[in-house]
Amino acid sequence: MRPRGISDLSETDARTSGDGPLRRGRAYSKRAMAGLQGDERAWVRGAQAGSLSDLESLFREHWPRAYRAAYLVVHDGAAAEDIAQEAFMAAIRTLDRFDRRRPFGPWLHRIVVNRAIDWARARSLRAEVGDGPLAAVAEGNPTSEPFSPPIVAALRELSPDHRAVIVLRHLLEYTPGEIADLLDLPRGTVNSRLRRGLDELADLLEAGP
Amino acid sequence: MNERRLKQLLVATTPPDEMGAQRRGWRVVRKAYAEREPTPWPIRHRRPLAAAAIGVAVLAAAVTPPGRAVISGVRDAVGTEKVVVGVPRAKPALFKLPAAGRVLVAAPGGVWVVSADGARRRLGAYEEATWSPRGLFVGVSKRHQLAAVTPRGQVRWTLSRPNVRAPRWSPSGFRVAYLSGRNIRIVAGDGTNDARLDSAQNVAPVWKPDEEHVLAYADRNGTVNVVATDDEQTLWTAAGVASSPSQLEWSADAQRLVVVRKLTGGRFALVVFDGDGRRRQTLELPGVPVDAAFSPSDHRIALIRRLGPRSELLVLEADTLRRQSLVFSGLGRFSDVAWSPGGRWFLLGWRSADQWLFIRSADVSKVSAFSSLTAQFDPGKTGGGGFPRVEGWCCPG
Repeated sequence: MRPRGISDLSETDARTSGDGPLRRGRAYSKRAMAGLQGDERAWVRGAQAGSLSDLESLFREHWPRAYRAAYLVVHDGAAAEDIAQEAFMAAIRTLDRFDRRRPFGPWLHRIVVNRAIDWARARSLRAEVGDGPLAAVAEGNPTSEPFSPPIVAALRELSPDHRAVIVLRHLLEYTPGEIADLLDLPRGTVNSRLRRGLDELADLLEAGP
Repeated sequence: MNERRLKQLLVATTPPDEMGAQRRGWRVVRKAYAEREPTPWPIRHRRPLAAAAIGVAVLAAAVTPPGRAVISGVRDAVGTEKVVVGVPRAKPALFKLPAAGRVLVAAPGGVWVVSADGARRRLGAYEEATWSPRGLFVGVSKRHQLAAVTPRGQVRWTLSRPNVRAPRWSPSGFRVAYLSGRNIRIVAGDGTNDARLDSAQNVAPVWKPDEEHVLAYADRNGTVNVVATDDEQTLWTAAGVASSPSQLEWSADAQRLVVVRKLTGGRFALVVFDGDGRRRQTLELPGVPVDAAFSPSDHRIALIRRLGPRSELLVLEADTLRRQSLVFSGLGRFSDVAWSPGGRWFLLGWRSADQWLFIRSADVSKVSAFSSLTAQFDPGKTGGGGFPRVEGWCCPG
């Protein structure tokens, strides 16, 4: 359990971390969830009762994966930040009604990934219907990142739907059945998207840059 | 590459400025948390008090002169719907409306517009309908088609989609939301740019009464979503006590959203949210909810419920859900309720008695009843004799 009473994340970041993520993401497998749920329920209960430190614990636990998942779907740091922020804002708005018996993570990830898919689709649609010269300029300077790892570059080539199921399955470690619930899809669709996405990803990584 | 390696690569991926994003995110979240208004304690404890209060209100209405005057005029023959007589001395046909405006009606034989003078015009063989905000057009649907027609029945545009139902024209006039199959879709008011918004339960969506194109609907899981549809931003969601609603309704000032939800054990709940998604009130009542409608001028809700062999029309104040009053009670089934544009009259459909009742909202002893509605909206007897459904009372002048 983290110390209570921390009110400003930036203070603790300055003390405990250098460059890179504050802490490595923990997977959302059922095993991992089992260990987390006790703390998480207490955090949710505390946050519902007005405890800022419990809210902070929830935020710290879930932000890194939410942000990373959004980023791996949209491939845009600013958009991923917005999406993760909006998901937490939605959580704040509905905190009083949140059922503490349910895990917080899947609920948050449902919002994050669905919004990320929507954002990525909207961007691809914009690219299809116009903005040709702008798109060409953008293609020449795809992001503010100086270097994208091969896995990120390969993921970017997939459709948003394929990216999403791969991120949910292999980063957040949801089962295909859980992904089907999160995305409101038939399980067979999830399986086929996973299979096709992974095949395409393997081909892209094999082909190299 | 095996799955384990893929996971390692994904976990090792560092999004840009991860620390900065986290700090900024926390500032925003902390600020939102500080500004939120937690659900006050009494709300959780008001439910039994409110349930007791409505019991008292119903009892009081049954023995007070206005309630008894109306109710005593109803001959309650025992048995099936067919022997419900309704209000005696009802006028044999719908001669006129008691207030200005026009009523949109969906009957088995088609959709009709009823003018204030009682004139009826059939728009076509449609199943459901919605007024455009100023009543210049009517959005209509039938099995696989959505269309916009004028109140004179001229078709302006059509759109073919599977299993179309529950069209709802936005207050701005620029959007129409509707259900198609298991999805909710939105099309521009001129019939262009049709697009799927989400999967949805079979509950009519409702537009927030402002110009922002904010829509409330129940998604496939039963969660109530309030979404800014132009950028598909979810403003807030409500599950739990508000999940799997049977009806959603916004107040005219967009400050209240009521969620009607059936419960087990012959009960139902009204859950009232404010415009920002904070739950204000919850009330459980016995019976089966049939229809609910906000007053056009305040936060009163007209509510129909079925209680055993009888039905009741109640009025509740959404801000408290305490001051319920029984407006009308009768044997058999009521079908729907609508407020007149000025909020002075209710239109109550009494299916079992084949009557429409116009009840003055401020003085429930004033009732105008009209009979033989089924025949009036099915003159050629082609619709199978179904009772007409009120789709809206719109637009004086």
